[in-house]
Amino acid sequence: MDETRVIKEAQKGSLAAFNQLVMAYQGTAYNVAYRVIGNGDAAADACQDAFLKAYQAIKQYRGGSFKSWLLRIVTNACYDQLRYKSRRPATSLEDLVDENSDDDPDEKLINDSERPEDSILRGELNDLIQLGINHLPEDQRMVLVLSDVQGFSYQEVAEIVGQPLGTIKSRLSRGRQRLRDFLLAQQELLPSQYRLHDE
Amino acid sequence: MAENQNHQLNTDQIRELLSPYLDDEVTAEERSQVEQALTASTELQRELEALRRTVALVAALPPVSAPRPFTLTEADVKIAAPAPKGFFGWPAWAKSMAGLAVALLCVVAAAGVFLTAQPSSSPQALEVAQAPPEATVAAPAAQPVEAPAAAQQEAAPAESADREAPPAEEPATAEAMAGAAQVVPATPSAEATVADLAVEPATPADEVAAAGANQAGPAREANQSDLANQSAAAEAPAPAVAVTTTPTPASPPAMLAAPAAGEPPHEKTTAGAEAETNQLTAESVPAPSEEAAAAAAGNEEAAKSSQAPPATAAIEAYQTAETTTPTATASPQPANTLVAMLTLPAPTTPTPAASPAAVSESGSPPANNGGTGVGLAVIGVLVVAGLGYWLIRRGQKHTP
Repeated sequence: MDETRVIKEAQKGSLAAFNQLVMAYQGTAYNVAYRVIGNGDAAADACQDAFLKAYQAIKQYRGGSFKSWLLRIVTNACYDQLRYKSRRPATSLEDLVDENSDDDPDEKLINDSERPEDSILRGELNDLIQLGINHLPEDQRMVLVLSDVQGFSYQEVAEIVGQPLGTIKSRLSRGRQRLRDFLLAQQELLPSQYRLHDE
Repeated sequence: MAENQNHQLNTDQIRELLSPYLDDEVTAEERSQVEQALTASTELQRELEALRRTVALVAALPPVSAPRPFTLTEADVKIAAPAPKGFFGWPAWAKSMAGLAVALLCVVAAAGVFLTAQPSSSPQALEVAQAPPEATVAAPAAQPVEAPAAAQQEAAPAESADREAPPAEEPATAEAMAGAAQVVPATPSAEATVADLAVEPATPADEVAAAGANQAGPAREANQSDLANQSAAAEAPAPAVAVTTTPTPASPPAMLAAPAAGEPPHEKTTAGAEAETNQLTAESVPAPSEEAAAAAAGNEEAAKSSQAPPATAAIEAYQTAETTTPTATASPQPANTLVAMLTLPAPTTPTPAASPAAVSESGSPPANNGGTGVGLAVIGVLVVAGLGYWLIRRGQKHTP
């Protein structure tokens, strides 16, 4: 796909061209939203809002990394969802993780090379890690997900979040330390091969 | 201990650098410091290792697939389009109503300012308000002119009667002439007094007062004191009574003319005319006229008490004064010219006849102010409408 051509067509008002862009980036968008929000339904709502806003604002795109431009809209939509859910504290974030455990998207990924017991342990580990991420402040959570989950560089994270590079380093460092301390406190819950400290 | 203190001193900073150190996002100096600290502290090494495993665990989180495609439909776009949230998130109809209300408010305010500005604050109204007082000022100012003219006219018919008047009245007339002569310097000793009079009475009222004094009795000391008083009074501010700029004593014929037969004694007549003049002067220049009235009263008394000089001497003194140029007077001109000069400024002053013209002049600008007010109101409406349109468009642009 010639992204530049498709973007130009989308800017001219072509919905089909824009949907091509949606199909290309919806996976990344949903992963970011899911890891930041910690809930599948809320993440889907955030992504739908983000793509609708992106279509309405496509004419304002002036070049550069389209991925960064789109993910900035997605992160803003995630913040909106977090504020919306914070005003309606029906369930805690931890309950949200447990609530969706039956519908854990991770179960949709089939890894034939992994033993079932390992898969269960892995699933539990992932839930625990997600639980640790959910305990982080929103700004640290966003930076950690973009950097460690999605693999963006410090510069790309700074561009997406719209913050200076030094701020990104600081937030990431504190987020990692918090998550490390959380997992160390839950050491006994981690599988032995995943424990942080050698005993 | 010192080493531990050194590490402890830098522990927080080193801990802050462990995360970017893992990502190779540190400078060469920072890397050196971190590595030195790690070499010296096993605790830091454990912290770094725990941090590395945490990052690895997070990175190992499996990707999640989207539950459904997020592609947009025409319905999704149409649902989102009709409600653009712009300025303050108001709907379009509310913004239109708000803009219309602001425009109407501006029109009403402009009209109110226009209407309230007409009656009192317009300069033309001020001119109208000022016209009558000026006319009033002009009228009394004209009256002193008219008074001497009237006096001249009275003097003219009286002149013929004077010739038939008994000689006993001549001394009084001569006294008046002598008084005038004294004011108009006939002798060098009086020149200083005249010079003072020439310098100080800069205002017309002062000259009127001087004229009144000139028409007073012949007592020299009294006149000098009167002149001094008048000079002091000259410093008092007085309205511009241009009509009375010429301090004229009664014209020689008038002075020579005795009161008509049957009239009271000349001195009394003179005093009466003098009092009349002083009264007229008081209407225009209250302060100086008071002095002039006092001077006139003093002169009258002096005239009564002093002995009248011979008539011929008075005539000669007057003729001498006529040759000498008294700067206090407007000009050493004959009586007719003096009367003409007195009456000359009258047409230029705002008379009651001229006041309607001023009123009419003031009447024309309100029409212009009406047009200006309407124009300003229209401009205000256009500006508000343009601003409202700009705000609406800006709000639409900022819609994400």
